[in-house]
Amino acid sequence: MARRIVKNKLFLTGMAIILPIAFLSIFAPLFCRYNPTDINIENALLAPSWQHPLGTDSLGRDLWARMLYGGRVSLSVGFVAVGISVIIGVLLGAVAGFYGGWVDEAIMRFVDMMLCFPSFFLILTLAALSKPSIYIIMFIIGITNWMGPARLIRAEVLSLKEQNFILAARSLGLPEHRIIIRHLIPNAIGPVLVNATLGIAAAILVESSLSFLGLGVQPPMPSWGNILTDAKSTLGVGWWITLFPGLAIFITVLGFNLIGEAVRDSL
Amino acid sequence: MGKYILKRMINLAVLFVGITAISFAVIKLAPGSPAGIYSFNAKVKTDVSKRIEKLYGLDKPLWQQYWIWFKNILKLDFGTSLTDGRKVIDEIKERIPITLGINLIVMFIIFSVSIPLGLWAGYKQGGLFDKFTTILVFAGFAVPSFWLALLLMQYFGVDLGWFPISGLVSVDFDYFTLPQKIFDVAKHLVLPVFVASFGSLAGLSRYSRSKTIEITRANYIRAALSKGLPVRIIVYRHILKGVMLPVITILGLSVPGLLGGSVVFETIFSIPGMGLLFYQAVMMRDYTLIMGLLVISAVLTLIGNMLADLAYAWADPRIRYRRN
Repeated sequence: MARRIVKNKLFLTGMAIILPIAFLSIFAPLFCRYNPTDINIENALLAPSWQHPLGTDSLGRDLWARMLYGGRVSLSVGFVAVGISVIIGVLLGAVAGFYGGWVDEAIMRFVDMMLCFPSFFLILTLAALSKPSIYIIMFIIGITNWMGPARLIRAEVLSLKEQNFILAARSLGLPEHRIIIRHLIPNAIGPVLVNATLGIAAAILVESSLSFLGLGVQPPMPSWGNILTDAKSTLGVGWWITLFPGLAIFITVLGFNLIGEAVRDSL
Repeated sequence: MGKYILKRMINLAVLFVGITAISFAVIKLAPGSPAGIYSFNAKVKTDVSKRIEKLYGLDKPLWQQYWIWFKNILKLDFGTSLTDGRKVIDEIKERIPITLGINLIVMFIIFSVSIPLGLWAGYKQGGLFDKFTTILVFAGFAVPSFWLALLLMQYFGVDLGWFPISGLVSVDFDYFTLPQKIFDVAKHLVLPVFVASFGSLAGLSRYSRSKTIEITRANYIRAALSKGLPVRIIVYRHILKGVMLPVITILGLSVPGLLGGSVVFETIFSIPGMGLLFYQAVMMRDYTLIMGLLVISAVLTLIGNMLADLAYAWADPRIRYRRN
């Protein structure tokens, strides 16, 4: 699978998008002349120039620096939130599928109930009731999006647990938790990987919408979403503040979607 | 049949109780107390906040609070808003028609655009049109809706001045004649509806495309081709039917997604619907209003799922006959 995927055009395109963005974000201090939170009112709303390659915002902060540091927020929220939802979803889904009966019934009913809510409503509520920090945002997005992985892994486990290698593991007398963790989950994880890659893209979109609405990452910490909040109030004055952060979200999400598509093809 | 309906009803009841329990838990387990809103002051005397807590029954054990709240909900009494003192159910009733209306238009557009798009792309798989729509679909998946809204507002609203960028009606709406009124609302709706449809459009055209490809390979299509049925009839009668069925189901399941999206576009375009109400409730930490909106939105999802099931059963004879 690994060898096939490296030759996949979609995968290469996706990586060609994500890797530079990740590199620039991780080593942001090396590529910035300005501090992303330094306010300089005299330089407010400057158009892109040699001095400020992407211009400045309404408080005179360098947009290029804010974009790079904002990339850290988007990427880390994407990865950690999906990590949390995959861990919750995989464990619950595997337990439901493996034990069946009332355990399965209870877990899957709970999944159905959670799926009735618009997840963005739950996320907004939790974000408003807690003091939003980047870690809390990761946690909130994670605990509201584990239902997809749970359903996927349960379906896989249901078909796997009747197969010979699991029967063999059982007759060898392996403890149940060991069968689930060492034998069932690794063999059932494929579809979840696709879901997780697409989930990173979705989590980045959710974080940016949340920050745009003022309930996500709080200023002065820059995030692509909360830079766009500024863009709304300067609509018609500074096109660069609207254009660049949105473009960054668009390209990053596109990259993860392409990779997800490639992973799906290679399964 | 009777047993089937009974099973479904019990299932619905269980889901409903679960929905209310989750809505209640989300609010109650969060830090901070509603009494804090009234005081507007962290140093308010403890006996005052105790009195407020008593007034709202917040001094009772959690399960009692839940039971009282649940019984009231069954009577459609969601309590009063903590910010303006109006009945929560009245506020929601005012806003629901706007959000549902817009989302019905959105669903209609998604349905009538994505199926032909997917059908054409899938039938001529690998062709120029297919490649073009694939690119469009990937773009649709990746565009943040609020950014799209900002760009459209900037270009069509501010630069060209074609469409208004906020609200549902103009200031002098009351003095308009009826056709003018309709035109005015339509003009206000163009940008929000476009933004709301764009994302889901991508997903569903992708879906109808892959469904079309799947059906084209089925034996009954091959049989139809080999007996010499014109391609036009095969596409419009046989393939279209097979694609439309699952799309109906997906539209029914898309209710929570559309409601979640309403928050974003209603807030940006200042449209006084449920989404904006939810945003305001959240910003004001209006606990009763938030709980009411959570329950109502989940119930709308349940209704959407049920309608999708019914539509599917009605449209698919295999299910219709099995049940009778």
